[in-house]
Amino acid sequence: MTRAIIILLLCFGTFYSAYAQELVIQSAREQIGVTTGFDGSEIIIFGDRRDPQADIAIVVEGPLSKVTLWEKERILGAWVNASHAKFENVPGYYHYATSLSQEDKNTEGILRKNGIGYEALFDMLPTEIKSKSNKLKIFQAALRNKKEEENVFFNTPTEITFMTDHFFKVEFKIPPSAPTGEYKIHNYLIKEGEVKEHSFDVFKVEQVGLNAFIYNAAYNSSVIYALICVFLAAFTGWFASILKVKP
Amino acid sequence: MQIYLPIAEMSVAVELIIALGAFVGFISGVFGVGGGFLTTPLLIFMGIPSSVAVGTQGSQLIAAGTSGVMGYWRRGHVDFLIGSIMLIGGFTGTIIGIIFFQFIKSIGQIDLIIALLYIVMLGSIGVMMLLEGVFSTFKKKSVKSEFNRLKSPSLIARLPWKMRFPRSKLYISVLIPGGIGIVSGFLVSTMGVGGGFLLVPAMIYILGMPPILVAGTSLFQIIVTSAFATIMHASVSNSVDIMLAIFLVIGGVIGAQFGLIASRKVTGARARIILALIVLAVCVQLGIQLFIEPIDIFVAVIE
Repeated sequence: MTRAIIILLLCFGTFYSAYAQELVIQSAREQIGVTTGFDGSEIIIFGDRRDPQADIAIVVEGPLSKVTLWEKERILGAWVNASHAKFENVPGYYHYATSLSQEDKNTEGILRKNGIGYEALFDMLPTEIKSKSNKLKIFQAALRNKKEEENVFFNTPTEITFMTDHFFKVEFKIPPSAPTGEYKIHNYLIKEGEVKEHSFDVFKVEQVGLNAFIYNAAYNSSVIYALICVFLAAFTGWFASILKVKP
Repeated sequence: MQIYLPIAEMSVAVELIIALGAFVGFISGVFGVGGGFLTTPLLIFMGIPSSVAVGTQGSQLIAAGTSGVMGYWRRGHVDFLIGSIMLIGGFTGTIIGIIFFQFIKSIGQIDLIIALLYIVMLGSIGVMMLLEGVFSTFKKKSVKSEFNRLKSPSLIARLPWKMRFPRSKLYISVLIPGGIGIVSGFLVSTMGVGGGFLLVPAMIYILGMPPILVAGTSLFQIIVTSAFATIMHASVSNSVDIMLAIFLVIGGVIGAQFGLIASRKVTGARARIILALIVLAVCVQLGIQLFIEPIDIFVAVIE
């Protein structure tokens, strides 16, 4: 039912405003709320392409941050962080979908050239390496492995489901380990190996309810927050001491 | 039930946190120790970031300390004057600890340094306790006489800024309780341990305080220092997770009740041997993590 409404809205939106655009997408939600019981969620994106011959790619990119990757080495018997690489602008989440065939040899090249996919992502990441030998490739692979282990990068692109030649749907899983912040949904219209149109939409993954309250309190009024922690702990301790007297 | 920790920004099983708190509470109920030295490593084993583990652990020290200090306070077994002098040292030590903490975090060695500090501390205490436990089981001789020889009255007596402490019947330099406080503050802020195992012998053998006042006074000083460390951690590095703290403390209170019941069945020397073995087990586990080749030799730090 909701899907039908969204598609209707999409059609309306398409006719209404998208004469200039050949590709229109709409995410089903603008916010994913991280509640106390948050155990992952998903973002569903509906889209419409005017030309059924054109290919599309959708990229969901999480908030960017600076990541320092350390490599451990054995020093005096202990495994110690030794050399490191610093990566700027690493997305906290990265997943994509494309209508280009995975079997086609050209697909990888087309995506990479246009800045889509992991190879392209790493091509663009500015890095600073402090290590004896040049280990850029090793560090890049390690970073990708780390992110895959955290379930925020993915081995293979997800699938685009076409409901008609024009309308499609993509679903991206958002795991509980996904960082909070603003996510971008990039959409690309690809014809003859070139990106003809690129635009993006945003959605937010943010703590809501009690979690949001705690998070904001901890960051915006940290002293009062700490005093509440101290008070709660002391109160519980005092309460326990009364209990102990009884039995 | 999975619960999302708002500051650690990760999802954990709430039963596991309560069980951990209960286990540590049980240990502290049986042996009369704070148990901070167990909580921090166990939280780290669970995958909680070291900084959040250390920052949050203070809350548990406060809860355990408050429930203990009430009894001593009612009986008048707390020397607030000497405790306050120790607190001045405690605050200084906490600030030094926080600066040290931020420094090792910035050079990317926080996990290593915390693990090493723990291995040294747990290893030496574990061995000392084990020896003492075995010793007193067989020889019925207490270690007190050994410790008394360590006391060097001439050096302590020569220190300046002497002050009278009527409650403890002492006339000593404020540098001694202040110095003990600095060590304790440093331990609370860098390792999340109260340091009762160090404070208590130091107060008896170095300060020469009447033993009856020692437990209450050290608890008083640990509570206030932990409260200060919690405020510092929360405002400097935002590493105090109230959700984690609540479940740890609840588990701790439940565990402590059972611990108190069990403590009636375990006697002094045997209790110390068991505690020593637990301490050494945690120490060995930390050592294994440090010295055995890790499965993944890469560590990612997000700034």
